[in-house]
Order: sequence, then C-alpha cells, then structure tokens
Amino acid sequence: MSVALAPRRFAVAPGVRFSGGRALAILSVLGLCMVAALLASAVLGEYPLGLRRVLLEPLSVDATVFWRLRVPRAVLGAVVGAALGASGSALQGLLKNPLADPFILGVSGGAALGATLALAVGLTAFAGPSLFAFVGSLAAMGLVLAVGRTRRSPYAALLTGVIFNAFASAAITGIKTLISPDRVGEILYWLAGSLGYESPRTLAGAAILQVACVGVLWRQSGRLNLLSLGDEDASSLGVPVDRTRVVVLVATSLSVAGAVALSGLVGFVGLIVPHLLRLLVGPDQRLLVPASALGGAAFLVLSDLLTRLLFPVFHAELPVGVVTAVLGGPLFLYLLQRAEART
Amino acid sequence: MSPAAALLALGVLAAGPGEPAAVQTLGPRAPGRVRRVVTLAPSLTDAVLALGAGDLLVGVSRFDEQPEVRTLPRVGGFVDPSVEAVAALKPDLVLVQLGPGNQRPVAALAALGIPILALRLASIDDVLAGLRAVGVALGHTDKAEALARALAETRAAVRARAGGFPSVRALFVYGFEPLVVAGPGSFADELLRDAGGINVAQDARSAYPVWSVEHALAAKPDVVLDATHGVGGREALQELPGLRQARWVTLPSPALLHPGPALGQGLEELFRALHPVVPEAGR
Amino acid sequence: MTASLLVRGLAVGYGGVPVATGLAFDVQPGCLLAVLGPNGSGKSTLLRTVLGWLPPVQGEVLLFGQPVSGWERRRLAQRVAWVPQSFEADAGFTGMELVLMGRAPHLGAWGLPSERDVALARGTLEELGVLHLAGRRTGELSGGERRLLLLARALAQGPELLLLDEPTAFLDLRHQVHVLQRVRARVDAGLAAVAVLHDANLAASVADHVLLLREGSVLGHGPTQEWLSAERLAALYGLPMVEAVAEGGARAFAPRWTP
Repeated sequence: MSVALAPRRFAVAPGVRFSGGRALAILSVLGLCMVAALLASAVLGEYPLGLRRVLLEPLSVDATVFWRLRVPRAVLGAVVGAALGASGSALQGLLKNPLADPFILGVSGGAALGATLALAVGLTAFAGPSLFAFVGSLAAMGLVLAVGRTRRSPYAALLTGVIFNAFASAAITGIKTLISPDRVGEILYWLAGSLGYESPRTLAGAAILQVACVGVLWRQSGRLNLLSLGDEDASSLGVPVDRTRVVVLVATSLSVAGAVALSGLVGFVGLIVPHLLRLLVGPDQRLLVPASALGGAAFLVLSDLLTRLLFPVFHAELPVGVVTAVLGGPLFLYLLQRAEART
Repeated sequence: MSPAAALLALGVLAAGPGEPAAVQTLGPRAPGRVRRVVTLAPSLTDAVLALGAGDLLVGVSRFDEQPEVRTLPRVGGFVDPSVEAVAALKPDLVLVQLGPGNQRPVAALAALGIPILALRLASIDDVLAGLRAVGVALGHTDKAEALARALAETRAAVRARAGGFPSVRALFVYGFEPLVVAGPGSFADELLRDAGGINVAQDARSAYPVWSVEHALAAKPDVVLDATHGVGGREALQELPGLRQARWVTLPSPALLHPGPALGQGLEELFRALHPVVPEAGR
Repeated sequence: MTASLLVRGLAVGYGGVPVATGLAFDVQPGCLLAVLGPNGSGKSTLLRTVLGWLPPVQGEVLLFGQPVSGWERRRLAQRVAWVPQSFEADAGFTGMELVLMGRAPHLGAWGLPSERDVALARGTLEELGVLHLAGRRTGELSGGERRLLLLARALAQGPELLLLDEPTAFLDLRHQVHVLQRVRARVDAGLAAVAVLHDANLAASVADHVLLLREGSVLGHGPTQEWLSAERLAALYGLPMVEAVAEGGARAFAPRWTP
C-alpha cells in the first residue's frame, strides 16, 4: 500500500520513496495541519472569544484569555506532541519494535515516581512535580544506559525499561496507600496527563529543548534506517552502532523527560502517530521523524481542543490522554485493516 | 531510617510547608457591589445560600447537588476547575477552598483580573472566619455575623452539655474498604472533641489515616460513627470481636463532611450519636 | 602489492575461548578464497573477526595493510562489503531502498543518493537479474530473493574486498551458479573475495584458493587445483568421497553412498 503513495513525479527510482520533493510535500501538508490545529485551538473554547476584540483591545478579558490561556496551551500541546511523536518514531526504529512508545524505556516510571514523591511530600504544585518528574526521567535513562553498556542487543535496554516501569508502578501504589486519600486525587490527575497554562519563559525553554532533541533525532534518522537491518549489517555499512544507540537513547530520553515534566503522562501520541504515519508514508525514518513530530503536534493540539469542547458534557476537562486514546485507537485499527486488505 | 519509615515521614510532611492563611484575597479587589459569584466547592455554595445571597450565584462546581443551584452551569471540580469556564461567566467574585491541587488554575484566574476570595476551612474557627469574610464581600455583613455567632453559641452549648456526660471513645469512619478514619487535624476530629468524644485515632500520623482492621480492633472504641453514605464493607467489620460490642451509628446527614454553615446541625447530630437520649443500662 | 586481507597466526573465538586456531593466509585482489568445512568449525566466526566485530583471540588481521581495529568504520565500509547469512525482520523497505543502503558509506548523514548512486544500484540489481524486485517490499520476498538483494547491496557498496557467508543458501541451482558467476566476473576484474561455501563443487568451479577448516583447525590451505581432492574432502567431512571429471575438465565431488 505504501509504495502506491509515491507519486510518480517524485520518485527518484522505482521503489524509492524518499526524495526531496516527496519529503517536502508530505512535511508541508503535515505542517499545515499543525498550523490549522493551532489556530483552531486558539480560537475555540469554553470562553466565547470575540476575535475583533482580541486584536483591537489588547487589555480586554478576551485578549487576555487569548494570549495568556489559549496560545500558551496550544503551543505547549504542539511542543509536547512533537516531542512524543518524534521520540516514538525514533524508538520504534531503534528497538525494531512497532509497539514501542516513548515511555517504554522507563522514562514514564521515573517521571511518575518523581512527581508522586513531590506531591506526596506536599511540595508546592508549581515547580515541584515537574522538577522531580524531570529528574526521575533522567535517572531512569541513566539506569537503562548503564545496563545497556555491557550488552550489545537493544533488548537489554527494553527489558531494563520495562522492569523499571514495573518497579516504579509498585512504588507509586505503595506511596498512594501511605499518604492521605485527598492527596491521591492530585497524583491521579497528574498521572493522567493534561495541558496547563505555562509561562512564556517555560514554553521558550521547552521549545528550545525539543527543537534540539528532535533535530538530533532527525540527523540520526539515516543511521536509524540502517540499524533496522540489524546491528552487524549496519556496522558493515559504516554505522557506529553503539555510539548511535547511545545518542538516540539520550536524545529521546531528554525529549520525553522534558515533555512529561510539563504535561504528565500523555499516552498514545508517541505510539499511534508514528505507526499511523508509517502505514501512510513508509518506514524511512528520515521522513518519519519530522513527520511524526508535526503529526504528533497536530494530534495532541486537536485532542486538547476536544477536551475543552467536551467540557459542557462532562463538566470537566477530561485528561487529554483519554481523548488521544479514544481518538487514536479506532482510527489506527481502521487504517491497519485497510493496509492489510490491500496487501 | 528504613524506607517504610522514610515514606511515612514524607506522609507526615504532607501537612505541607507554608499553610495558607484562613482567609486570602487574590487578584484585583472585588467591586463594591458584587452581582455575579462563582463557587468552586459545595461548602462555599452552602455559605452563600445560608447568607440568603443565592441569587448572586452564576456558577458552581460539578460536585454541587443542592437543589437551589441545579440549573446553574458547572465549572469543574476541586483539582481541575476550568479557567475558561469560570472566565466565561464573567464573575465579580470567585470563592475557592485553596488546596495544592488547584493553585495553578486559581492563579491563572487571578492573572485574568478576576477577584478571588480563598478560604482555608480546615477548622471551626476557619469556618466562622470564612463566613464573616464572605458576608463582608457580598454585602451581608450583619447576616454573616449573626450566623457566625449562632454557630459559636451552638458550639458552646454542645460543649457545655457534653461536659455533663462521661467521655465516649469513638471511631469516625469515612470508608471501610480501605478503612479510612478521621485522625488528628481533621474536621471531624475537632467536632468529635466538642461533642464530648475521645477520638481513638487521635494519635494517628495524619488527618485521614488508613487503618488496618487489626488496629481498629485494638482501639476498642465504644462507638463507631459511620459516615460512609452506605458504601459497602461495613458488615464484615461489624462481626469482628472488639467492634461487635461497640455501638454502631450511621450518620444521616452529610453536613459533617462539609466544613460549612450547617456544622451546627452537624454538631448536634454528633452529640446525639455519642450520647443517645435513652440511656442504656450499664453504660 | 598489498594483500587485501592478510591473516597471521590468527585464533578466533568468543570471550577469549578459541573456536579455530592456526589461521594464516592472504587474499590478493583478483583472487577468490573459498572456506570449506563442516558445521561449527569456525567459518562464520572467522568472517566476524575479519570484519572486526569480534576481537582476535590471538594473532592479527590486516585489511589493506592496516590492522582491522585501526580502521574507522565508515572508511572500512567503503572498501569492504559483507553478504550475511541471515536476514533481520522486515522493516518495510523495498528492494531498491535496501540496495541503495549499500551506497550509505559513500554518502553523508542523510544518505541522499545522487543519480550515479541510483544508477549503480540499478546496475547491480540488473546484473543479478532481480530488477523486478526493486519495487517489492522485502518482507514479501522469498529467502532466496532476499539473498540476491543482499548481494546486490554488497556489490553496490563498490568494495575492493567482498566477504560472503554462504551466499548460495536458499538459492535454486540456477541462481547459485548465476551468483557465483557474477562474483567470479568481479573477481576477475580485480575484486578480492572470501566466500564460506558448503558445496565443494561450486568451490571447485569458482575458487582460486581453498581453506579447509575442520573442528577449529586448518586441514589445508592453498590453490584449488592441489588442495581440493576427494581424499582431502573425505578427511574434511568425515565421509568417503568420490571424484569424477566431467567433459570440459570440470571436477565434481560426491559422497560415496554405502547402502
């Protein structure tokens, strides 16, 4: 199915799906989707915005809602979505596992444990959980890298991550039973993943971090393609396998840690978006990494918009992770079925 | 320090550094004449209704079940009030019970230029202070003062009556599975002491400790106060020795769970539960 | 002339434990060395050590005059190509994309091929008669078709030394002959090659030299004419062998069946 999507005029040669022209076309389309999602998210919501008032009266409540609530939240959604999408794609390629998601290497366990500890101790809700979550993620990454040093196969990293997640999950359950029940609600809310209103400084820092990490991942994407052939094959084609593995692991861990620190654990974006895009544009990571970044951004921003539009129904903004699952799951199954049917 | 002890210590610290003041204002000053009020917790709605200012309410939390506010729009929950939904109602004043979970949305509201009155409501004194503050803000100062005074008098009366009875060892239960009881620093603990009871959980390490069944057996309370609203698990405990001999009382009204203007009623209910009108032989 | 591959006093193995010892040979440009031996005699381990993935237990390996550990991976990949025995799980690439990956050592980080690279890749596909597989996904192909693509990829690398690990496995007879003929043609044009083979007859047809490995020790090494004979093969495989000469001078070997 995917070969059929190589328009003839862009094909470099029969069977080759990566070319400058095709990449530009696909990334442009996805970029437009992201921009459209951002615009929709800024314009729609529970508060009835008057666009004229936003533009003409900079001191009105409308303008404040737009610039201090809508725009920061949309930008945060784009940054987190891009991070999760790109990292998910890179990890699926590195681990040669289409079911890998950005949290699989223990990053989610580390972040959740960090945030839970912060909330249990009662650290101020502003920076405490985020900081602890970030530190927790990096600790998990360090553990995975340390264990992976002595082994060459990617399965060591995978297993370490899975085991660490299980350990963190048990530790969190333990903490939840020890602390008073009213605190448990906060922890559950953080773990479910949601987008809040961050300051411009935080957003700028997050954006810079993610641009750097996604940039590194994009640059390694050619080597990721070769790694998918197998360690020895890749090595025989000139890829420094161990070094590439470490670089990709560090970049994805930093990226995911930075995202989770701000948004909690938003699931499915890093799993579904790269997988979906692979069905549509092929397995070439040089295209998949940036496409997943743009697609992830658009998907998360739209999911967040949906949580806000559904507010009158539930009298609550659902955690955005719920919406990504409900949206992404069936869509993915449908596309998978179509792909199977064609081949 | 063993890991378990360390974690428990963390739980103790859950009281948190820097407790907020009993009454706080955030954001700009409220207008002299407040016309539109949003409340973010049922206790606060109760306070406004008790002051006779129910017509000022334009939005409530999704946990509010009072018939008077049934048609009002909901703006979210305790940990997740929706900033935009509140702002869309264009309130003159927002009443909130501050907790670590909602600090960020509340700060966002204040930054939008919405006046906020934040109440702690952790003790009876907090409730009295809170009532007075709400009264001042809504222009019902006299009514609030009267209400607060009546509450204080009820409390004093109950305390006086309780003085004439022997103290009763009581266990106040919020839930059976797991067994969550009222510990020191909780609202129910304070009311219990006022009504002449001894909280068997007063040496617990937090305000809402989770107890093991054996711990409850060892405590041997005279009275078990069931505030669970019929959620299951009671039968299993009631059969056990140590608890079978106790008098089990189901508290009918939720007033005791909300630190609001109805606590006078709550106190009297509690008093009746601890010291029943018909004295039983041998007690 | 520097040997493409020079091996001296080499013992190969895993974790310091030798699997094969006493290896000493060289491969010159324009020469094809066939490595023959029963299973488990260390043939694949030898290839892995030559490529630098396993450290030698003893002795040294020199590629183009330099010790293998001194080579930067990418520079080495531009001159040495490897055709593996097994193929990893399908990642969804097409035949042409797979072969183009062979050009990676010559391209930058993005691996964007020029027209010449594409022409080279096409060329190798055509040469091996599998151009029709260019647009097919590798996961849909048979084992034999995939082996041919792997060889095409290695040839596209433009190597000076080619290492083949059982290149004829899974191929039907026609393709076995075809593959080895193409390799032989390249060798005649100046390529150096080392091929692990299971079939002594194929070795007889295309190899200049043979290396006979049995249970970790070298039974013999030298020009095919001398060292490939029924007696030596019998010693190698532990089976009585017969030799026949077909018209045209081609030698054939077969096990002597004892009912």
